[in-house]
Amino acid sequence: MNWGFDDEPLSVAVHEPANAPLAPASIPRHPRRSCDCLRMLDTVTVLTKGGLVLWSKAYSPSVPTVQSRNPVDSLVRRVLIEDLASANPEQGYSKDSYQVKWTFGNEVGLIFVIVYQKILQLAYIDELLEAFKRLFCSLFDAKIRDPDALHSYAEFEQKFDTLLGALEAEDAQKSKRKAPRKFEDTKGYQNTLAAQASGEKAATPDATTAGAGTAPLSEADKLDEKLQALGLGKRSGGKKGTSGGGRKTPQKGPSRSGSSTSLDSSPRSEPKAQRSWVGGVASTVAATGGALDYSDSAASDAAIPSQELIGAHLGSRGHDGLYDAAEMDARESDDDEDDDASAVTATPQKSGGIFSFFQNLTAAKTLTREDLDPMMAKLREDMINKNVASDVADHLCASVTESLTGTKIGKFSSLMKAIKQNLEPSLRKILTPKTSTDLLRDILAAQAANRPYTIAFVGVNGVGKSTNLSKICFWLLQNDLKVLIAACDTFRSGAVEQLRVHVRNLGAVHPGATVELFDRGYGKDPAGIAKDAVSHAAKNGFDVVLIDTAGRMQDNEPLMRALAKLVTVNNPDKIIFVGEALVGNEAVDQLTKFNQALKDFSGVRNPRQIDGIVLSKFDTIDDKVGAALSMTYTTGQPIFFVGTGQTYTDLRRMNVRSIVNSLLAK
Amino acid sequence: MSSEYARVATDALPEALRPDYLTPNAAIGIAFLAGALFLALAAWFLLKKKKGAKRDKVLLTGLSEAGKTVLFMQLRHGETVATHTSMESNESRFSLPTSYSTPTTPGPSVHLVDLPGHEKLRFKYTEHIATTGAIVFVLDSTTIARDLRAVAEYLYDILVNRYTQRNEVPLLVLCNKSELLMALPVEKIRVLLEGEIEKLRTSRAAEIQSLDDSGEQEELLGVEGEKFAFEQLANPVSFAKCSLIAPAGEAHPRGPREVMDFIENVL
Repeated sequence: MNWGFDDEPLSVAVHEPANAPLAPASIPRHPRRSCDCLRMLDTVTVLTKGGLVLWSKAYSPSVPTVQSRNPVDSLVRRVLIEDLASANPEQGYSKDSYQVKWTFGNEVGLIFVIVYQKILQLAYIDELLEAFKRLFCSLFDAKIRDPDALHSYAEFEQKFDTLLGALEAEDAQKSKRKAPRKFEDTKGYQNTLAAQASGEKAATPDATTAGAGTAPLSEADKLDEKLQALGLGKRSGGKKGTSGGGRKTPQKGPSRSGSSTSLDSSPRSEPKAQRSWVGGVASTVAATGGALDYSDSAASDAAIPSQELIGAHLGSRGHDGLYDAAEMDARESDDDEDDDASAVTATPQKSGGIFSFFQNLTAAKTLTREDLDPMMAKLREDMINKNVASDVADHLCASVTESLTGTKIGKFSSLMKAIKQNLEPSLRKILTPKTSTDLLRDILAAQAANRPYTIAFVGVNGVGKSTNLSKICFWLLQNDLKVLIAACDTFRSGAVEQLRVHVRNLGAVHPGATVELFDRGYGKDPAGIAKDAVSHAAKNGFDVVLIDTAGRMQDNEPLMRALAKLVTVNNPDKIIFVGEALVGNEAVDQLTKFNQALKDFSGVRNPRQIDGIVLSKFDTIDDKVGAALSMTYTTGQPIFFVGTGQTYTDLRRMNVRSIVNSLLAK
Repeated sequence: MSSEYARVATDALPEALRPDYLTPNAAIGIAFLAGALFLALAAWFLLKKKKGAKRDKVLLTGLSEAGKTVLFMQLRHGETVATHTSMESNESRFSLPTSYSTPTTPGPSVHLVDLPGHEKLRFKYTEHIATTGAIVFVLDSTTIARDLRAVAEYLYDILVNRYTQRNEVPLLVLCNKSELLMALPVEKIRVLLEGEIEKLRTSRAAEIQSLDDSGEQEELLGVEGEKFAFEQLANPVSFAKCSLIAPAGEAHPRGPREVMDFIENVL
């Protein structure tokens, strides 16, 4: 996240007048500007993890409210619950024409969401989101923590508008300066700055800010100060000190309070007062003056220092661009399910003497990234020992870190236990299918519609496609269904004969059952054979067609093309990927490449993807069940069956609980 | 120091009970009484605890977008609020305002749990089901025809759960959004659900055994050999329609009457 410095502004793709402020030529100079620019965002929302909207503002009436199409609901469903791997907090999530950015307030169990048009490249969104979160948390701390009543947060609206106005003004200022990009604005400069660390930082006028000579402030501190300068934050350094009595973030506490008080007392509006845009912003502030009741002092000069501070901010932001969330950590951890409100009110106040001594001794410890990192390394190693693919392990560790950072655990409770407690539901969530896995019910529905139900088995060589196909066939025959097996492996010699033996055996085990083999020999086009098989089945009253395909390595492009063709031509009801439980990292590679090939080579608009997984050779792996997790995580699709042995009856449904237990066991 | 306290304490006792005056018989008697008292207290606490841990939860279940969180907030706070998809449960213990309750005599205390409806989070009901006294299953009357299978599967899972069966937990199927044009009538929804559960019953019975199955076989829902109907179940299943976001004038300030009555009856 580099503040969009490297992105060209989207001055050409302007759709509506509201976008105008992005174009360098049209920096508005009159007070109405703030109204225009507000329409750049579509929706801003604060919601609890339980789904309750605390505060929301819709700037555009066109955002769909139907849950299936609302971008916020979609975010919660697809990204936060289903854990869509392609979306992450840095890049945001795009839904239809909307871009959604979000951040968690873990301490208070809130989600902050900003929705805007994808076509806009708003460089200030990340800062806005963070400032939004900070402002909201600090203003309504008590309200948020009080679970016993519904509170109104309506007064936040004006504050948010002020914040937005200031950030947009800054952004407009930046794009105005943009045309010939100065060295000072480039990443290279920021890197130089970072290298120089503190000392000579204040050399150029653009970066002259928050007091030359003072120690560099952390990102979080700057943001706090900016909020203060806007008259939006907590009233003063002193107030902060007392209200945050419980906060003891070790490296930050002293430096922050010290510098913020010094800033409050110092005059800070000299160098930039003449800029033309200042008038616009100042009047914005004046116009929304009612919002500033909370601020301590002169609202009118508030906007100017904010600009300075923003400058400082820009100067040193850079490589990672993440605000350090540790700032607000030391608050009470929020526990939605904790009924007992007394704990919430009792803890954070400081009280002298013995009590505070005991509190220090037993008080819950706020988790920081640094606390978690060593444990995460261990957890990751444990998971990899259980055969979880390393990408998946990394991602899980990251998400556990994210959800635990900022929460509190008791001093005497073990960190590893807390981590595992946090991990258990997320593992269950990953492994729990998001759609029904009741194949029989699907088949009955197809039967009612008078058509055969088709299942294609795909996978790499030697994983047991034909074996598992015949096991599933056995189960279907037990349920009195008529099954046709289509031998579409026209590649490997002996494949058709193998199936023929299976069909003979199955017929012998189930006298009276209808099971047939549909084969056209070797070397033919599998897609055509499958098609013929399906029409043969429809004509002859078969209920299910099981399509056996040739095993193929995921990198073999000609064979993958052939598979995509088979899928496109026949559009089977289910595409089942057969994978070995033995694989580790390979599992992710196989699945992503199969899915990618189905997508790339299909040539249709909405390509099919793998619908489910059969995990074979599960009896060989003891407790190294990681492949089950890697596969479900990679595809988001369920494991329908697990192959556990050599006979037709060695087929099981996956039991989520037992897999989770094996994963978490030492 | 401590002997001082002991002396003061002994002096405060009635004469007959002071150690110097106690006869051996009396001492045994007192010890016996104290023991009996202790046992009685322990038993009382245990019973109370057991009763406290007993099934006092009311679960709000159903698919996403049915209106569970809105219902929760109406029951809890008496307000209709804007919501998005939940990713965690909402849970609260409070006293339910009923027809007869006044500020001085609050209604019965309920422990209301609003579970997220997303398929991947559905397993959360299993954490609560053992201590559940009543279940409200909320569904969207307008999309029931489309989502019939998903709704029926969730309902089936709840009904077939061994705790639901063992405890005969009453269940209310709340057909929300009945004010909308597309809404199906309650009777129709009931018939649809019964038909779908009938099919699920067959397919579930034929399902492949699960890994690490402890041999616990799910019981067949309803009566074997007959078409499934909710009356066949041991636990009472009732249906009601409601409109949580009712047109102006008809709105229930504190949640729909049907739900309040249901919970009141159960508690």
